[in-house]
Amino acid sequence: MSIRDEPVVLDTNVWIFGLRRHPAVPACTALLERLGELTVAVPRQILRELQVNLTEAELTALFRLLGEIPDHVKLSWRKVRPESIRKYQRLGCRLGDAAVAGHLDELKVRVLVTENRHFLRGIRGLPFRSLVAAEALAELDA
Amino acid sequence: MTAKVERLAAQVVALDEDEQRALWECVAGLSYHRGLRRLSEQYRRRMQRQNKLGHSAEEILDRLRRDRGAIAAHEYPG
Repeated sequence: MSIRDEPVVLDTNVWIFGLRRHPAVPACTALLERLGELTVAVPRQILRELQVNLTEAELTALFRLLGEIPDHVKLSWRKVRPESIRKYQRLGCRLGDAAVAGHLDELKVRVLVTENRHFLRGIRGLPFRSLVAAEALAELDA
Repeated sequence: MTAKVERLAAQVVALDEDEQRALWECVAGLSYHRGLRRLSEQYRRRMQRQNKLGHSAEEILDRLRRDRGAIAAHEYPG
């Protein structure tokens, strides 16, 4: 299964690095440019983190932008169920990471794209895989 | 301008359904790319003003990690 055929969640760092055009991670910018080739879910925890990192005007511009490709991006403001958080905390996730993992689980998303190489790696039993942006691009091009 | 737009509109309606769909997708894609570039420039200008544009990837990841913990603690207390 490729990310062309299944929904993905982009971690906040992918959005932020992509918008910053950070030179250390150019794949994040390239991935944002190719959002129209993906189906992206944006869960509440990621939305709240974007709210903290973007000004109101920037956030409005981002939402307007995502509205240009409505078939490819779905925002979800629903909170994670406490049992989902506990499930991932039991597996060894910190609270915030457990919230993100819980979102993926509840949204039935099987791929997380993140530049945080430590995030969730080494934790067994996760129902999704994590890729860095460069790996996601490679899957898109395969 | 109006004549030009009318000419373009006539060309669009002459396309078959699949071609029209492809055209609108293409227009949406171009509009998205232009908007993304504009938003990115806006964000980078603010980072520059705040002397944050040069932050390393690791610094940014650390900051985001802290934000994640603080937001989750607020959203899911106890």
